[in-house]
Amino acid sequence: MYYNGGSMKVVSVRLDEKLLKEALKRIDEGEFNNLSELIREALRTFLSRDRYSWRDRAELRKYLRGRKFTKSGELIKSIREEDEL
Amino acid sequence: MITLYLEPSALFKAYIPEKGSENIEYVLSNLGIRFVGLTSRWTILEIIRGFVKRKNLGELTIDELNEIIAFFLDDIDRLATARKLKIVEVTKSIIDKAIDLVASENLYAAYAIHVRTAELHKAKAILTDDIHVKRLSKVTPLRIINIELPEKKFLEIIKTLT
Repeated sequence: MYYNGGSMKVVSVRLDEKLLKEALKRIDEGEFNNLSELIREALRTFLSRDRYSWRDRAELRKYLRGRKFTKSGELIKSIREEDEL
Repeated sequence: MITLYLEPSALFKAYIPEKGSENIEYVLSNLGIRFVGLTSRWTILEIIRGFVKRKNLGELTIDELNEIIAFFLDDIDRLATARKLKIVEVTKSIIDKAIDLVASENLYAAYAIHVRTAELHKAKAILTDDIHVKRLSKVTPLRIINIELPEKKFLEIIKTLT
């Protein structure tokens, strides 16, 4: 591991060919700009796996489903009007 | 890629199950592929205030509120770091341009900040909810898209943007 001069550190990672091919396909499809970005995202997702009661937005919405919520637009409107700003 | 401005009433729906949630999820899932998301730093504060208000209304517990706010901030940070979502600071030039909207259109400050941020950063459209469509349409030439449209109709409209 070494510093690249900025706030990021450079590390070497060994990947098997199949995994690398799948990753490169995602980059080709435009989902990520490069392999570093994809690996950072994968690592971030992995590390946050147990941090919350849900893994992603879809799971959060599923967790909250069945409850009665005030419409988001109504809330935003009322916040703006209450603040009278 | 097409730049879409995510107004708080639209983005909020990604974190609460309600009408329009699937449409905003479609947009967020396609950031960096088909779209670039754009929003004001002010949006973050408005949505967090919205979560707090849900707690005050008894819709969320205090523990849920804290967890959701942390998750929301992480999610936004992840999208911004991956350059899928551009968060625009509330700068002097945006405030200067928002002043005439507040004065001439009797708009609340938040509306003016969102509209001027979207215009200055050349968004193709503003995504908002049905309550705000009419109000925003009156003050900007930008296309205003209702996130609450039926999924099929929403996708048709989004596909016409070039």
